[in-house]
Amino acid sequence: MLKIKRIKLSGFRGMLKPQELDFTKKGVGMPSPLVLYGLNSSGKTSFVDGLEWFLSQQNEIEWLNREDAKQRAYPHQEAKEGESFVEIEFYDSEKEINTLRKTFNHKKTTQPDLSSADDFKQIYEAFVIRPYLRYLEVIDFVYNRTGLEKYQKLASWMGFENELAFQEKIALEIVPELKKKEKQLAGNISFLEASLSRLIGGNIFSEFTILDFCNAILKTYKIKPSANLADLWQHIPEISKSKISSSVGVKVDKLTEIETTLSAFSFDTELITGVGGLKEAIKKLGREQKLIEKIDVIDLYTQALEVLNKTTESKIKCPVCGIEWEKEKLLVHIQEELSSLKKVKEDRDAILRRANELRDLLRKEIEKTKQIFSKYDEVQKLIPILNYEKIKKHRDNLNALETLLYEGVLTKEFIFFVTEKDIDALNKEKDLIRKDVSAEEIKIQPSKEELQLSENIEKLNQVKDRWYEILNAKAEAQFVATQIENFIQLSNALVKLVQESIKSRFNETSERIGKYFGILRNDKDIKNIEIVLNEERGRAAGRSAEIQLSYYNISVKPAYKVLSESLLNSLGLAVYFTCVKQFNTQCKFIVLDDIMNSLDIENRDTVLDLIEQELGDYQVFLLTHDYYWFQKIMRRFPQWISKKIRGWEYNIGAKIDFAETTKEEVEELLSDPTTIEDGGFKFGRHVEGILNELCENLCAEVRHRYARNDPPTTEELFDALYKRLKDKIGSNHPVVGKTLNAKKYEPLVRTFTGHPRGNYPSTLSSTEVKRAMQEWSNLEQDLWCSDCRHYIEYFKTKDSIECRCGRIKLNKINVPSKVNK
Amino acid sequence: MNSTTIKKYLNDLREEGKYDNEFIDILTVGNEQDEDGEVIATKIMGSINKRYAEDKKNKT
Repeated sequence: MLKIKRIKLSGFRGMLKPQELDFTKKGVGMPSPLVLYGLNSSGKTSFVDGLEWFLSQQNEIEWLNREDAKQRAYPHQEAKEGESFVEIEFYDSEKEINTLRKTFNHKKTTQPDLSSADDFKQIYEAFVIRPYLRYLEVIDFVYNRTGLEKYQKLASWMGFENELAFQEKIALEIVPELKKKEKQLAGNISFLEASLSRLIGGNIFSEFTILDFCNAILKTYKIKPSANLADLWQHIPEISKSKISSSVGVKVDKLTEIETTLSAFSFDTELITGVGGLKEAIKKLGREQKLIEKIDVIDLYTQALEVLNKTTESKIKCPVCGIEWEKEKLLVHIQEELSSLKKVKEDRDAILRRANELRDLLRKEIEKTKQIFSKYDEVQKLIPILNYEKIKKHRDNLNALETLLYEGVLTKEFIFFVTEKDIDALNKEKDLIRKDVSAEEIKIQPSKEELQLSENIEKLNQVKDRWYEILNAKAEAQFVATQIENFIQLSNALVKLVQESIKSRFNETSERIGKYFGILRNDKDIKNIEIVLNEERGRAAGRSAEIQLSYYNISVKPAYKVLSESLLNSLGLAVYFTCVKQFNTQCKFIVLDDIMNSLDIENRDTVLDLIEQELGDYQVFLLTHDYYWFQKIMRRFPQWISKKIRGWEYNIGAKIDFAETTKEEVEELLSDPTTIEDGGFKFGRHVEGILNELCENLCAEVRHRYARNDPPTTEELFDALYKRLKDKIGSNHPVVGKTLNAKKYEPLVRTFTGHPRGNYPSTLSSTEVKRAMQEWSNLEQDLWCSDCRHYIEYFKTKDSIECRCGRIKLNKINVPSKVNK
Repeated sequence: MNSTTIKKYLNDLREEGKYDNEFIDILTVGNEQDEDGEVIATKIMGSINKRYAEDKKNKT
């Protein structure tokens, strides 16, 4: 178990000179909780910032990032190299970790020097939940984050990040990639179908339309219509026999075959688009040429890291550059190099994958070009003047591209000259050749029937070929789709197991959140608080979470739909404290920075109740700028260490002292003639605070505080308290008398409260203040219970005035009697 | 990064006997070696294509 014994800050944020916060008491082994009071801008938050930076594996202070104050803003402006550090002395029941120091590196602001990388690693792992909580973070979690972000946050809090990552890999990478392949196969079928449609001259085709088309041809030759395609194909050789065997016939036959082939073919720009994208990616990567050459040393660096983590030597040679480094600096150097190299490797691998895909496309293009080229060659034998330079050039360009893709796109200059204009020119060249072929067919003057027969035989053959190609493509697509479906069933089963496990963790946690929320807010209309997995349809289905609750017996999700800001604050606190309790089992340390000020006054006590009841074994470090609240915590938790920041100076930082009780503090101030008014001021504020609390506890009727500038006066508070006590316990009760005695000094108190009501003299003697304080103490001791550490309250159901534990009870009396204690 | 929980779940699914063992193997390796989703998908497609070729061969 880890707790914190001492925090030391130097040259960090508002602290120039080394400043310490000691969490230990003389003779007590275990560190204690601590409350630190300081006015705003007195340096309190420097300690929280220091802790956050110390415990952050990314070496960041998140709230400063939000304000665009990056690492350069962390050290004190006057601090020199090596002077800015945060040092923490740990209490470790396992005795493994002692004192650790993180020192700011002015040259590499994101890479501080660590006193022991191994120990820091242990610390980072031990604090599953960040132990520091600021007001904005509470609201941020409950209110601002989307379901997906909440799920990610909870994943990191509850330790299911790896499962979440794999779940996302399946949902966002693997399945979409497989679906892409499925789509490609469907695209191939469409391409073949379009080609067949062109052949039969219609947009819609099916086995019937093909049968109709082919039967119509066969009918010309007095062949009976076939009922199915298999029978139909049998007739092709039959009509081929009747084909003219003369040389003219052969020539016509050839020309017809060529023309039919050319009519079904078209050059397109898909390859050019693919090459363009690849070229752009290569150009981008080209800037990292030096790093590309070093990619092979990634393994070497990785192995070196493993060795370094085990070695105890302080100076070691870098396994790559051979330079001798201090161990910690070498670690940082290798981690930086590894991170850059891994990024370049990822980019390079993406390019290689793209080149691979392009190779497939290119192979198809080369094949098609070869086919057309051979047809042109055949035409040339029949029409010797035929010119087809464009396709020759295209063939050469494709061959050059193939060589480039095989020899390595990254080692040679990437050149590919084909443009969209060239593709247009190729199609035009093809159309011209088709025209030449048609002209030649007319020129050799075969009979119309001869021409028609050749054309029909060629059409039937091509329809047959294309039909089988489509059948094969469909069979492949069907096979692949079934297999992909099998994979999806497997991945769904896996994801279901992951989700079940996460849901059980949510259920376990939800119970505690409900309990904590119940302590913070005794609101019977809000029940059954749960963290639930969003399983409805949508992009993040099964990968997002929300808080659900029952509000006036109606289930509401997300909770912020119905909760006020104050209730949301309490809910956020309940979730945060639950996660700390549930998951920070090794580190029982928690920092609460001014979170009380985010809560309504009447709900602040319940936070202390929660700490007392549920986090009693945790070391709390509570910071506040509210003096009255600070005093209250001191009274409630006398075993805590109480410290206050006396002041702050630019060249030093915060000046921290042990804090005393109000009485001790006032007495000390009164003993010095120059600080009598300060003593009076402190006393006045104290009385005003307690009077407010008592009036609230006892439900005394006080004028409504409708504006900040017009609070009830101390006289009104005294009168309200007196009236309430008189009504409930009788005017003869000694406490009522003591209230009247204390009220005699109200004009003096009023002078020193935050909002005096008159022109009373401000120069008083210490004796007067002491007398007022004595009368007040006489009253206060009857109203404060040192056992339960609460002032008396009015309990409506019992119609009684007593403290929470019942030790002090003020019974109604009509004759003078003693206070029951 | 790899997850022993995922490994365990995949083993449980293998024992159920309802799912494709070759796909389970690919996912297990992908989890252990923290492979990119794209790499895992390519392996799965490779396995499917091989099966299709065999299936076609057996039919002819």
